Amino acid sequence: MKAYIHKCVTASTLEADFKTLVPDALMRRRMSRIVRDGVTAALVCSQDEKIDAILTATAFGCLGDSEKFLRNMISTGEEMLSPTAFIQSTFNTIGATVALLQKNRCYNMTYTHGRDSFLSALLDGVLLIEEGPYHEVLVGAVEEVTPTLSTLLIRLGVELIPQKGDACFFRLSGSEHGALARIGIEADTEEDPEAGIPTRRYEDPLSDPRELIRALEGRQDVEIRRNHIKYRIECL
Amino acid sequence: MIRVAISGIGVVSALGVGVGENLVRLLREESGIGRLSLFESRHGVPVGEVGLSNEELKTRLGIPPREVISRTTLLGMLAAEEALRDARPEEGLRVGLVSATSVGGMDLTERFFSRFMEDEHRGRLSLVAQHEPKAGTDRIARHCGIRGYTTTISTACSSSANAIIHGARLIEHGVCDVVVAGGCDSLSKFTLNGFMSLGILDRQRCRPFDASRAGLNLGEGAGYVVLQREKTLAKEPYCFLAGYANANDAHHQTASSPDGEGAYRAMREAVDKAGIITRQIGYVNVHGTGTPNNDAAEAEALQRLFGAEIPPFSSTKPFTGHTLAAAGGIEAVYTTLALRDEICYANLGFRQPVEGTHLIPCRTTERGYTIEYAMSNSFGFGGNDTSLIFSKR
Repeated sequence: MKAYIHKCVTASTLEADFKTLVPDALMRRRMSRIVRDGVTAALVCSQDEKIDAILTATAFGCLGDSEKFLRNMISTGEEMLSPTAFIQSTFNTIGATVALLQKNRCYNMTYTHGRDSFLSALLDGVLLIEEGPYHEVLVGAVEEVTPTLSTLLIRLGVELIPQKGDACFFRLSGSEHGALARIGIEADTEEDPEAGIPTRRYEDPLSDPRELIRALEGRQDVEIRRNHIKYRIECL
Repeated sequence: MIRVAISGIGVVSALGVGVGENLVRLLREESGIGRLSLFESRHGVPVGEVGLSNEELKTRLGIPPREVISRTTLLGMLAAEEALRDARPEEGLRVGLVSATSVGGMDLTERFFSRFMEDEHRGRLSLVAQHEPKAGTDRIARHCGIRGYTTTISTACSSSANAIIHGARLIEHGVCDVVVAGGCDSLSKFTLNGFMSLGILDRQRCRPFDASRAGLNLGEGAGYVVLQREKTLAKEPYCFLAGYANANDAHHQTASSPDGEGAYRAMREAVDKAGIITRQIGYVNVHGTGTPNNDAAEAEALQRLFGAEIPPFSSTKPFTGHTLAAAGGIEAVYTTLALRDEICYANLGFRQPVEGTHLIPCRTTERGYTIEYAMSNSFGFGGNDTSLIFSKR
């Protein structure tokens, strides 16, 4: 099964005009960091292509808004709570906001499987293109780092704490013409009795998309084997 | 063409633990909605609680009481294990798990946070270590002995219906032979307050598709179906997954578009994918939360899709409450049973149709129809709309 990677965009390296991307001031003000990053990267990555599927990956989701609502709930004793933070706290908020801004009613999915979220989204993207009629698919990983997350990771004994979040979006296509790379996917054909128990250790959920971007920028091929799937990316 | 069968089902809800208990109460028209007893809250609204404490759930699962584990995960483990035991896939088949949740470990995190807010060195870390959805899914996989491809989906109220779509795709593309697909969510103070702040909870039992409807009741539970490639079946399946579709309303973060566009598209594309015409659908398990907005939008979408010939339909949320991410999975189980036994469940609490429509759901349990195809809808915040179609053959 295969598809082609045509574009990759990272929010932290973009100098996008956020006001142009999101003209509604009220909407801009409500957006948490993770939603801003995700939306910016997704919209720039889409360029003017008609997008047939929006796939978002996030391990921790909208921590900022989750925490905001939780703190308010606890400190006010469940009184007079504003719904904004609650609405923005759901894992699918980023994907939903992209759809809203693009007025795009296409297939929309959010994967929340820790460090493997991005690879799950990538797999779905390739399956959709292989199947058709999905032709242009956005696949993005989004995370945010809050002071609370850092505090808790330190308390949990994690050594390499991420400094900040980011959003990495890729545009996959069924067309080879103009592509940066081909991505091929193969599933294990037999049950693997040696398959280990998934690790409980913390792993940075943005490490896979970042590795992919480094590979694309350095014109290096890369292969990842995870969760019974082999992902092979060959630069063109 | 690779056909995806449903070879096992498992469910836990306010109606009870297991398919047997749930079906009995559905047929007896006994709602499981009652008073909140799981935790202290200022808000005394009716909810659909699974009538077992965490300790009792652990005992049933054979888990030591000391193990810190989210209630969401406990519910998921019960339903997933029932489904897999029901399906009994043969040795050597590649079995995966696609689980869905919106609450995740928040039931534990919210307990941790009160301590943490007083002092950032306090609070038991074990309560917050499972906050992310992956922890729960991996625990369910380990409990059930599932060693194949595993992932988690979270798209609000359409989550487990989407898990079923992804599971089907994995089978159709040869990634897995069998996929346990569905979801779980438990009641939590966070969610209760979230929905309270939105002003969409009913202080009475919900009345989906009724003119007097005033909101939803929250529920909790878990529902899983076992999807299996037809060629690998060793026994008759319950039914087949004939069609499915995922569309986005792209209208508003929490409200549905008045013309139900996202809902309409999801249903329309599911029908097209099934290769059938709308007249072939014998029963629709609607999303039907009981909120003024959802039911109006869904009613509009049903009318657009079916025209004047709307099949028998009902919402089972007056039985279970709105179980959020688990809804798609629980209702897929109920729809599977509806197809097998040719039942249209009662839409409890109905008196008058949604304003501006003539839509009348099943007022009592109806049997004796021939049902070849049945549809199940799940529409979520963020405009995530999903429709599934099951077929007898």
